[in-house]
Amino acid sequence: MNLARSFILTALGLASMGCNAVVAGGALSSPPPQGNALYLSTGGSPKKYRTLGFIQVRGYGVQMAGFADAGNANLDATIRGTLAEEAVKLGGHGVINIEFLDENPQTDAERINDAMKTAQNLANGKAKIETKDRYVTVTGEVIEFKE
Amino acid sequence: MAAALGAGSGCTAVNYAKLPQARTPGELLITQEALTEPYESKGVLQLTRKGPILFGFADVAGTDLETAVAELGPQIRARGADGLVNVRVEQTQYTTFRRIVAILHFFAPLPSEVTINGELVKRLPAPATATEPAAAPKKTEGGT
Repeated sequence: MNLARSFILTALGLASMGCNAVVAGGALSSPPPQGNALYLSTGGSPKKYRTLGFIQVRGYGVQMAGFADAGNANLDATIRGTLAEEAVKLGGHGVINIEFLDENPQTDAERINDAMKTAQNLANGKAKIETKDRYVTVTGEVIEFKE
Repeated sequence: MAAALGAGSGCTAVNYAKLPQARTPGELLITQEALTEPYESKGVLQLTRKGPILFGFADVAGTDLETAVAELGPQIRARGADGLVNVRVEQTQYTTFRRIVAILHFFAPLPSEVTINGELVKRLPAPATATEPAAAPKKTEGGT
């Protein structure tokens, strides 16, 4: 009886929780390419190009107590940060066909849960902060414009 | 019994969502293609919905493509964009057999997740094609 009741309560709780996790990053490049700025796009190249290579970046970070993020597991740090830096090192003028995935974005419900667990730990005298490993993976094609 | 259920159910899981395919200004454009018309990038966006599937079939959290697509609109508009291009979608799928097994193991809900990501764009008006004024007819003075 208790098992059934707790199951129903859990189900109702899960159903009422916010299940959305939305992550966003800053603007990439708008065609046509401007000056010497690195061209970044999830699409193709607006000009003739030569492929210099491919890059994959995996940003790692830790989320503490549900709300404090440390590390590079976010879209801006990986796409406009590390990916762009590596493309420049390769001598690229741009990165096209960029694909990205935040592997384990946290919903509001998960964040609140971690925050509450941390608060509970601290209230019970345990110095334990709930943490979650976070990963963002980005891939792209490094190109050099021909014109 | 399980073998009979497995044989009787399909091994392929299919999910789909209809995407709005508007090409008129002001309406949302969501496509897996790149945009060929002029645009301004407004950033990148990923929307993920997570939740349990209860009793093998009850998707109480709406972790299907259709729900996720329906939620894209407000997110796109909130960022000043009117489209999401180069979209990638991914949804957890279970075969009918796995779902039936989950009914028996009702105390362990199936984890489910749907993710949609892409580049936010604002479409720009196409540049007006420069039309040179028609050359005035040359006046011929005099004659031969």
